[in-house]
Amino acid sequence: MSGVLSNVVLDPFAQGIMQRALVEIVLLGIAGGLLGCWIVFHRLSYSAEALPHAMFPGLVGAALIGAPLVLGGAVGLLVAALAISAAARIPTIDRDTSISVVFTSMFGLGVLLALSPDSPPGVQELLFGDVLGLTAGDVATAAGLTAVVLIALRVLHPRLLATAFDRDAARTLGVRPGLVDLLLVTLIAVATLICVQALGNLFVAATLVAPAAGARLFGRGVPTTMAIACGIAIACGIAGLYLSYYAHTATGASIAGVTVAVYVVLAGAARLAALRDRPLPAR
Amino acid sequence: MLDPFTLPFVQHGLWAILLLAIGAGVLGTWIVLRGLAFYAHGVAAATFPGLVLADGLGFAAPLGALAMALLFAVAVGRLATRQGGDHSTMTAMVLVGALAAGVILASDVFDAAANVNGLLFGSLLVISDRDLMIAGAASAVVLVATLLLGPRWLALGFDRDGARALGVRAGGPDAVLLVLVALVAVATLSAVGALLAAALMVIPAATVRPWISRMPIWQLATTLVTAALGAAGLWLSVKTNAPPGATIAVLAGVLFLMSVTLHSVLHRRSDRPRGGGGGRRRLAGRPALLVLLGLIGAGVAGCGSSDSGAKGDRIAVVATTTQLGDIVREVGGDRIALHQILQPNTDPHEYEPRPKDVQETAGAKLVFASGDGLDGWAGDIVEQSGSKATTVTVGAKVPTRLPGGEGEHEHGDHEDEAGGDHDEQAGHDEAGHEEAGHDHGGGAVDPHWWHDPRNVAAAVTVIRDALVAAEPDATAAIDARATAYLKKVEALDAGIARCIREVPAAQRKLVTSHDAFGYFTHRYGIRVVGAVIPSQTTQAQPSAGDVAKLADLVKREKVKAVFPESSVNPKLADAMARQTGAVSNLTLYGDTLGPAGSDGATYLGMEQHNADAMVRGFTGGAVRCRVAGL
Repeated sequence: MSGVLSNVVLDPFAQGIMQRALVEIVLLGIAGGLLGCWIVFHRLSYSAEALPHAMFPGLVGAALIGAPLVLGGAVGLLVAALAISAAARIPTIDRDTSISVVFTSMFGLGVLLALSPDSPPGVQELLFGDVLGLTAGDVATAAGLTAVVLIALRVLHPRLLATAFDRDAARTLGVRPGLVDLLLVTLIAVATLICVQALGNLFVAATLVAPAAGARLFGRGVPTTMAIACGIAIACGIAGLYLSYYAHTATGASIAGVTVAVYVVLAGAARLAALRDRPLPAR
Repeated sequence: MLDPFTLPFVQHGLWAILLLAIGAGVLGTWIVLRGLAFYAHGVAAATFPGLVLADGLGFAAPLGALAMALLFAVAVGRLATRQGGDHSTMTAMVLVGALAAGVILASDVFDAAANVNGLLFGSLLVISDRDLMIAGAASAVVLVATLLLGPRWLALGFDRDGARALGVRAGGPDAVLLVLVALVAVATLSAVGALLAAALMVIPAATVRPWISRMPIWQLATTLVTAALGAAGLWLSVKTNAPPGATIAVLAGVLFLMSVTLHSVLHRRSDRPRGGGGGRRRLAGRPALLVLLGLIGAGVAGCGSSDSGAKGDRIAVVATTTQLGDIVREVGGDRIALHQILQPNTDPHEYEPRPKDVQETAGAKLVFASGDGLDGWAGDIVEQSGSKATTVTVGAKVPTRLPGGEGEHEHGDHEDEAGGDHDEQAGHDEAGHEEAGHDHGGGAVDPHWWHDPRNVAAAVTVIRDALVAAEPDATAAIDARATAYLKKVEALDAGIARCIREVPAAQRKLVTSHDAFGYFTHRYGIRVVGAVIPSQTTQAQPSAGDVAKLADLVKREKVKAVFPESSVNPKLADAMARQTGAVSNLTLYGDTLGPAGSDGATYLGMEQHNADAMVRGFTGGAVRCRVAGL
């Protein structure tokens, strides 16, 4: 019996393809869970959804001049992060609107650049990986970038904390919210680079937003929320891999679907708990 | 200078943009005021599963999109109310859920849904009357709602708690706003596509915002800017032959940049002496805005070129795909003026119409389409161009038609007969498969018919007959060219059959990126072990279970090579090769020809390259294939 069980559990990971996918999922879970909390606290979800599209012109540009695509993608992301921060400084325009303006014009530029006959076929997808198509090098890159994200989050922790909940108070403490926003969007750009290589462009938000949104429902205090977010991200990632293995559903979509389903269950549970705790209405 | 607007399809697009400008412009101000930019993007992108369902079940695409958008509006609205008005996070959550559902539907439920991605990219060049009606209706609803609910939206936008204290209820008007954004997003979908919807719905309002502080004027100005932007973008795209959606997006970005730069320069100057008088700034703003619009107009007018459409006495012909273009060119020679829509190395699933394609189709006498969902957009282009051309769907007239979707199982049966003489068994096979094709209905035929040269031979006669019917004077020349080309196609067929026969039947095991070679393997007796993307569209994602099973199969069957395709991302094929010890350095031409100068630049070259790559891969390089007489 235990033999059967361990077969069911271990069989999927007999092959290198699935082992690399597992390692990548854990790495993404850690980086995405931690960073995701700040994304949710700062209400920056749109950047996680928009940045993968905004790097498109960088990608095509790199392909046209023969530079490495990852470099082009990184430059594209950095330009987008800077442009978003610059546009958000305009007093009449909120941050989501500035993200919208930057990402839409950059994506349009990418589409126009890609019309050049010299651009390689499917350039839009060249950097978009699949968690089943990873090389050992891809996983090592992801590990390196995850380490960068972790170190940066540790260093920036006090400032992120100060600006997340009260920007005016942060200013009096000598923290510049604009600068912190820029650093955070840059970190999201780094995480985006890992995510698109692992999951493709559609599910960056699944990794960066969904686990943290679920964790926020229960977390008391930032460290607890972060721990719960990482736990949710890793558990959902692994569950998605199993689902994709046994039910033969598309991998990236399975992981994203499980994460959202878990969020829905958690939100329902949180609501029930809130109802239970609420005192009965006085008659 | 205004000649693009005399073209009927450009006028159609212009009407669409003018109708949309009212709804998108007025609503855009609310979107910017209330910080709903992400929601506007999300609701457009979340229509994806609705489009997949509409395509798979066969109902109207806008209906699927609208249903999905409304569902999205309700879900985000309810969730966000519970989370204290945090639209941003909830939009991300619901969007992820919708995209996951869409990809699973496209990958695992509707295997044959080929042109879903195209639906996410709208185009102002192929606007139908239905799209115009949707745009008009959406704009009308937005206008009425703004008149009725505008004051409440305004109160809620500036001070949510204060408004509530005054007795304005947030729930109702907010929900209406979310539904309206969903409605306009669906209307925008057919014009610029999901990813660029913000170019019409958000950027114009943000561009005008710094200059104007009164709501009605802001709305009027935004509507005018949206209309001007759309018209300028459409005009520029026709002049430069670029897709209008992306052109409008870039133009909108440039306009925004100029607007905010100019505003901050003037603002600073007028600020210094007077310490920021609001009235003064507004006065300085108006002429500056006019100057800005003038500059844009001049810039747009400056770049542009005209081209002549002189064809002489040649037959104007349009062909959709690269391989079809090559075959038509071979048959027609210099008696035709051919416009080929797809360019080498592009995935036909990702085509977006360009002005020249529609223009050439409008003036064409004949349009050759490949058929079976590969170039489903061809019909739209012919219809919207107002062309009187005869459309010949070549794929529907070839003798061998294989069912799509379940390629692997279908071809497994042919393994044992593979060694024999194929020319003899051809007859009964064709009959059997033709029936199977009809049973599966329109969308379920494998569209890659050209990978069987005998199909191409039939296509050559179809093309010849169509050209001759269109231009009887050219009969002799076209007949001669067709006969010469037919000889080459027959030589190709016999040559490939000879090459494959050199490989023992047990070694002919094919593993490819996606399932595009059903006709080739059927014709030459090759067994398809599997495809990494187990679907005929390149948009699908594989599952871990399928990949693991295929890797096991590849190892067990001792398959020596996994073949990536020229127009598909090779990462998965590479991973499969690493896992199994096979090689993955032999690329096949599947959906498209290669660029000029490559092996696959012509149809004959493409098939010979594929045959050579396959026999080398099957035998570990021991057998090569060169077909003489091409």
